[in-house]
Amino acid sequence: MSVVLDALSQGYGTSTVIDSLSVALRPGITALLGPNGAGKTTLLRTLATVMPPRNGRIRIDDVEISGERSARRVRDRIGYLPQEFGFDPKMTVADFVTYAAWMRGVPATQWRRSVGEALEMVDLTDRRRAKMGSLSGGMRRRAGIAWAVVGRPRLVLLDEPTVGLDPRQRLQFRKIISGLGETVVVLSTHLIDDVAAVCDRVIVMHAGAARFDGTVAEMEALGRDGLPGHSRLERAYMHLLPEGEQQL
Amino acid sequence: MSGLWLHIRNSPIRWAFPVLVVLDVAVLFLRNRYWIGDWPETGAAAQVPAYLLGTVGAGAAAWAASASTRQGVEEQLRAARVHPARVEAYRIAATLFVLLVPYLIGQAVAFAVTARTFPPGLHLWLGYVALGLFAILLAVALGWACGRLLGPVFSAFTAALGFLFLTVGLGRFEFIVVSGRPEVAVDPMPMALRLGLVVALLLIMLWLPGSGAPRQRRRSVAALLPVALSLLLVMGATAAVADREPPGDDAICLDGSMRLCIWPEHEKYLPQLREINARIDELPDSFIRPPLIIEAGLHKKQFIVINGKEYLNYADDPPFFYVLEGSPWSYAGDIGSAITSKTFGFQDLRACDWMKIIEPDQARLAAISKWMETYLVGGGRPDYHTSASQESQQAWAKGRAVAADPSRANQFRWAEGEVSDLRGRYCQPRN
Amino acid sequence: MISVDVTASRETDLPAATSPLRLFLAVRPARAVLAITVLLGALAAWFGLIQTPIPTSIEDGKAIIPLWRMIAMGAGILPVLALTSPLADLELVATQRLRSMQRRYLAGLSIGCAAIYLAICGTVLHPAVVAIIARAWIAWFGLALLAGAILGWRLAWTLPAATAAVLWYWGYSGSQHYYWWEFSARPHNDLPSLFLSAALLAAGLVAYAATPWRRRRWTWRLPRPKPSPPTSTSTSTST
Repeated sequence: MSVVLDALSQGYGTSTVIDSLSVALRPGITALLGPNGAGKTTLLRTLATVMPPRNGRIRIDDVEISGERSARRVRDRIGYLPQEFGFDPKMTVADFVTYAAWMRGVPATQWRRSVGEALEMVDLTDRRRAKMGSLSGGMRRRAGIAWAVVGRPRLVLLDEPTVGLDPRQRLQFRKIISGLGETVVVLSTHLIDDVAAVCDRVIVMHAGAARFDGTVAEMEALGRDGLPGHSRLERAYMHLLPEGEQQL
Repeated sequence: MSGLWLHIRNSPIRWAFPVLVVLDVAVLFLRNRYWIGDWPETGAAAQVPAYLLGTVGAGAAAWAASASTRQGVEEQLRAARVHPARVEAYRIAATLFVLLVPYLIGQAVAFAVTARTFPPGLHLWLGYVALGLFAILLAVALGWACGRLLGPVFSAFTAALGFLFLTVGLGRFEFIVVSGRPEVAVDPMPMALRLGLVVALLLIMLWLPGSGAPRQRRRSVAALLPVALSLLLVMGATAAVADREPPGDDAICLDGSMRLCIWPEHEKYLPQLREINARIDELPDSFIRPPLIIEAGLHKKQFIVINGKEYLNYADDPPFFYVLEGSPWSYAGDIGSAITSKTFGFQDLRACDWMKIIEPDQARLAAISKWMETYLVGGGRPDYHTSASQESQQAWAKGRAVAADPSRANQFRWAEGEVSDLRGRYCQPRN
Repeated sequence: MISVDVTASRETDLPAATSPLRLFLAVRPARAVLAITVLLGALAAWFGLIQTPIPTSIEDGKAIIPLWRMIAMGAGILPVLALTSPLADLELVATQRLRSMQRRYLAGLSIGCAAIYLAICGTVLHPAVVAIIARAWIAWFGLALLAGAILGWRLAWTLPAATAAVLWYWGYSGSQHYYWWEFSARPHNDLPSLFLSAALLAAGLVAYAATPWRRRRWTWRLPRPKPSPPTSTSTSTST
């Protein structure tokens, strides 16, 4: 799986949120870091083919996404979990994840296996018959992660996936993400610890552009003393922000 | 005030505001504008949009009511320091603002237009303002109840359709008022009762929980039902509009060969009525004018009881006419009928026997009737439609054709000839 | 890379395979819509001929309207309300499978609701009246689709309600005659109002089909507003 963005621009109305971004994504875990309004969610929605780009091109595997038809062709390979998502409170967890498996074209004969696998990954097997409405916020987010990964899509897009998870669950989440194999994973997060623990690559976005695109180690090297932060990665992040935003 | 403004600015239906203003003003002006210059008609015309706004408004109110559930802020509101009823009051008030203000803008515009001449009867306008206000409050109450009690998918749809059915169902009890004739006015006591009950209904809504709390919902519905049923009972059992007391000496009268009196609120029709009166004076003597003709309602209605049933008693009353939608054809027709009735002695059973009239003579009577109407108006084509029979329409066409003759002498000659001949056949000679 | 082991025995504890249609329908109010359609049909059949006054712009301000004209509006809106889904945020990544199921659902439910509604009306009402109801249903359905596609499926009632206000207030021209665009009242064999109904249906279906990608393709030739530059002047990088 490969994802290529070429001079991508995106926005709403007359405002530009992403400006001429060029990025190539390969299997591995890429973190999208950046302040609120940087364009992270917009980028994820564009990658998910939910929003057509204003300018530029998207290529997912060998498919150039130029219209509705090509977008639908690749959506079988995409697992997208938005930051906030609705659910039917009366639906069981198993049915919720099965719905995603069906949408993604997992053959019906493999639903049990795929759904079981996804629920096992997020440690919700015991709650498979529970109604979505009865779950806590953290469990619901885990169910959402199961939605995104069921059927092993090759492009997984997660927007703030660890919101509401306790420390143990976050550790489990890291384990899940790390075990996705040859999958392009893009996760938008504010949690530097998660980035440091599992990500191969970091893209720091600010005002619609990428201010950094490299490995975790390369980013850590930018973290100099004197900047706010409790870790090198945090200091590196602060270093990458414009001067006016570097002090607390 | 800032709390209310905060809720108005963030109301989920605030985008409907300009649409409702446009709709209200369009309903008011894209129609016959006879109401201008007549306070009760102004009020009645400007409250008509309330029924149309109410259908859309009920759905909008339901949408606004369910916003806190849709947006998932119910728990935050319940945990707030401010009492939930107060929050709900702000939300309802914001919704009322969005739905009431377009209606009040319409009333204000209508007021400004009629106030240029400032005829008598301003207090009658206020009654109709209250009537429209009630319709909007009812729509909001229905919508809010649907929004709080039903699920998010069907609540707005149910409220909109429900208000439509409610107005239709209550239409049989004169719920919908479309004209403000001077002989009637909004009755203060039933109006006050209706307003009081609908406000009580809205106050109970302040404690309505969202659709996710079944037990509380049952209790709230139990509290709502008596008030709602009382309101329906009041609306069914009372009339919002009732007959007015006649104005007595305040009536405006025109003297001539016939005395003609109208309600003071209709002073704007005096110029046209003076012209009609002048044309009546010019009629040949063979046409007998009643001494007095009044606008409907100027004399108190009298009833007689026959076999236990009440009937209107016209016997001792002078003939009357209506001013319908400001059309001169309406009052000219009624005045003309009064003159032809007196001329041909339709009520004089001793002198005339019209029971043996033959069809050709019926057509001639119809022709004279329409000639008289057209003559009194001053010519032109009538502004009304009719579904009368072909024979009647032909007879009327003949009368109108005579009225189109530029020579008045010719018209009078024809009319006198017809009167003389027809009276000769069916009435005894006059002394 | 840490691998995650799946315990194979867990899969047997899962509920039996669920059909796609059952899953799809489970999150949609199809049953409620069908039930309400039957109710509205019954109302139209029993009470549809009752005439009631409504305000109009002419003729002493009131015209008489039979209830069946009003109820038809409600029946036309219902199938569109049924498009609401609590999973809408997740269904944005709509695969071909999902869109195909949505299309079949809309077609099946709307045709089913129309058939049920008209069949119930037809048990009491005159065939000419049923023909008028059918024509009006098409128009109301199209308007509801248009409103729902723009504002959201739960607001599908807005455009029909506003249109009804215009239609019933200004559509009456007097003496039991209606303007050509009054599709809820013109005679059953009236062609202009039939074409109008068909056009409204077409507009609604186009709005339904107008995904963001298609809208972009349809409007790419139109002049676009000049975008404002972002607040930062950072350059993009690529690996």
